[in-house]
Amino acid sequence: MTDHEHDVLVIGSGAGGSMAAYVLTQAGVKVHMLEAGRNYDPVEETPIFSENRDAPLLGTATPDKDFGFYNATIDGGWDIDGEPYSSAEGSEFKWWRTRMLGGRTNHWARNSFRMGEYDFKPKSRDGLGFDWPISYEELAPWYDRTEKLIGVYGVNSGLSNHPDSGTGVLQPPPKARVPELFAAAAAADIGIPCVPARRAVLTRDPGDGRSPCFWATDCGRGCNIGAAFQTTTSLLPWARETGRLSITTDAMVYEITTGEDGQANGARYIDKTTGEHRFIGARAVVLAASAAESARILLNSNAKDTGGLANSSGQIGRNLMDTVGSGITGQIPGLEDRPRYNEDGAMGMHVYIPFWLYEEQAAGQLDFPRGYHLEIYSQFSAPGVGWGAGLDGYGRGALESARRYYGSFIHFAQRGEMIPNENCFAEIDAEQKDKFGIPVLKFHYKHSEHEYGQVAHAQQASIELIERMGGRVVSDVKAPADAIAAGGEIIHEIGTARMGASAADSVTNSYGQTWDVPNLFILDGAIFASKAHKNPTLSILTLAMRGADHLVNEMKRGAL
Amino acid sequence: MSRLRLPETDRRTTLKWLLAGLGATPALAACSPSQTSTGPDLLLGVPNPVSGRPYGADPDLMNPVTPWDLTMTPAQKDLVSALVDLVVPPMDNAPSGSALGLQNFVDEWVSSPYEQTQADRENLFAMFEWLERDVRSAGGASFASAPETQQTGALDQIAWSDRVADGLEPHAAAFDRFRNLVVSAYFASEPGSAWLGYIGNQPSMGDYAGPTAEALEHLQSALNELGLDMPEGL
Repeated sequence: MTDHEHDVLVIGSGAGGSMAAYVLTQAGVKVHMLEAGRNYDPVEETPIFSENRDAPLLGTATPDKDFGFYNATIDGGWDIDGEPYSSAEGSEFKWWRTRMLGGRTNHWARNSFRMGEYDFKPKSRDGLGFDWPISYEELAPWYDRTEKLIGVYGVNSGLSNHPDSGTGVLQPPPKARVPELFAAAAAADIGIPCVPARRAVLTRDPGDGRSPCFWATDCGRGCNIGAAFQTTTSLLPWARETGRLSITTDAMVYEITTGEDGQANGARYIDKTTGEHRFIGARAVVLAASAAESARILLNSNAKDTGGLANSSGQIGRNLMDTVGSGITGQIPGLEDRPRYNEDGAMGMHVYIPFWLYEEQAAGQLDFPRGYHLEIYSQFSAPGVGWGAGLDGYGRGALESARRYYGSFIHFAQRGEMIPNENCFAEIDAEQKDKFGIPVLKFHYKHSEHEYGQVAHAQQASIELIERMGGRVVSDVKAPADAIAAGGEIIHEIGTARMGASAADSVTNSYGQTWDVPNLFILDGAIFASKAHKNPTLSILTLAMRGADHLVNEMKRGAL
Repeated sequence: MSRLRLPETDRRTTLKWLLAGLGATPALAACSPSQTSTGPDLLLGVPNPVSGRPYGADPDLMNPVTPWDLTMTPAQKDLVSALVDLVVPPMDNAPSGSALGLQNFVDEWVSSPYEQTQADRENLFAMFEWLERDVRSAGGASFASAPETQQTGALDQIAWSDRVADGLEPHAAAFDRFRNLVVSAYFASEPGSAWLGYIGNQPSMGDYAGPTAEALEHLQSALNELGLDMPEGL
């Protein structure tokens, strides 16, 4: 120990950083956390129950707030003043950042699907991409612990590559809404599974100060009763209660420093409140600034090799992936003029369609190699801007047709696996710097036929479901290359410092410990070796729990 | 796989509906607040230029404020109030659109410093001028003071998608936008929300109640018509 009270420096307060801080402080380790955004207290700042009519422009999305006025994204979005990034010619990548304590966990969808056995060994299965240096079996107990800790609703459906949780781990899911039952009926008839979704929303009192969901107000605003999981109502306050976590917000990290021995010994950051450059030392560093930001910090860090810190493999910034996204919407006459009831529920999905064609895929019967799931969205939701679209005429007749159609539209959102390819990566832009003087990222991004084939399949499956519901497709059904969401648009970017079995072709081992700098751990989405169709946050939390536990053990045995 | 085809208008219409229903309206783009209609021959007067600032990336969510001034002229406001009442007449004991102040929402919208709302401003103001001119050329004193038959005589030329008079397509598109905004504001209001039948934003203890017996019965009959079985265990 030198000039600091803490042992470990954690960079980032989102899913990975907060889980690391929680595990470390529980084990008696003193932690200091740096967060680039401002402090945020959901108890004081969540606009719970606030009405759209009380917000500017009825709360609709603006360039200031991409997901609407009340959304719990503070100082964030795809574009941030003074914090640009660039895209290579012919590439489009949208980089979401949330500059606030707790990061994106304050507003994420809370969808929490486990990765399964196939997801960890994709290359072994179809020869594409990379295997993880860890199996599902090894990670399963950590998933159990994570789900139990944060609270996840769902059931064990016993489906292939959609692992069951341990006994007593999951909380009961809410009942399905009418449109969800309708979709499930059509799916069953076609032979497609439709099962309770898994979301990090409490339906039972966990006995830790958080409350179960009370079935109202959008989770995207944040949840001041702690029902919808976010680190600012759970991991961070719990870690602080130990007395071993201190936090500096408004701390924009740009470099991880190393000593003569090549070990990490701290970080340099800009205090955004004063503009001063500061250094903070540490015995070990956990980097969890989000996949692309973590890569940026490492690439900008001085190191003996010229390619950035912990980058002897050259893999930092490479293997950038995002979830494959597209969507088809239908209008269902059988849902018109239906009896009203409170359909808010847990706000997000109660049921969904998991991927059901693993056997066919393995048998070579499909023309795309990896799976997807369909998220189902349809409900009587709170009125706002757009509710008067598509009408004809005026007066009572127009209003009555609006009332008839209310709650009769259904949207199937494809969320699929992307396979890493050499055209997708982030590098330091040689010319541009942000307002802090930090070199920015330049993104390269290109989907392949694998993703397009998957989109085409998801489109056809969604159309079939809508037709079986007696409905009509109202989306423009575009060619897959036009229908697919731009890179980064689904906000699941991962892979930029992937884990692997050897230092030659990966950045970290299965614990997120970098091969080159043993006391530097990366515990965010950067370390993913593949991008399963499952939403990544649950796996980030789980890998961070396991990685931080390993860090504790290494410190205890004196290795670090 | 066969796919149901809708007439182009219907598909466009329902797509917009869908976006509405999902709250998935695209984000408004930011702009510099400079444009505004000017000119000495404006029947409804010259509106104030747009001023004020966007609310930014960290507004006070607990105490929302709209940091820009309203800019419509009194004559524009009178016309908009009359137009709002044609779109949202008093119904079933609910107040009319103007009694609910929906004209102020239109003013808030067109006065806001964003690229999308500024584009709307240009189009809506041109449509307001056209309505005023049309009523006056038919001998009326103003759209706002004209009898309802005269108002609807003007409006009917642009309000129905299959009956837009030649050359009036831009005003029809502007009215479509206007109607969208006004109806949105109506449904977001307390009486409009009740009329639409949104029952939510109400906390309840215990498990989520789920669909009512009546809602399930309605679903059952829809499933029966399609030969589908009610799912179990969800």
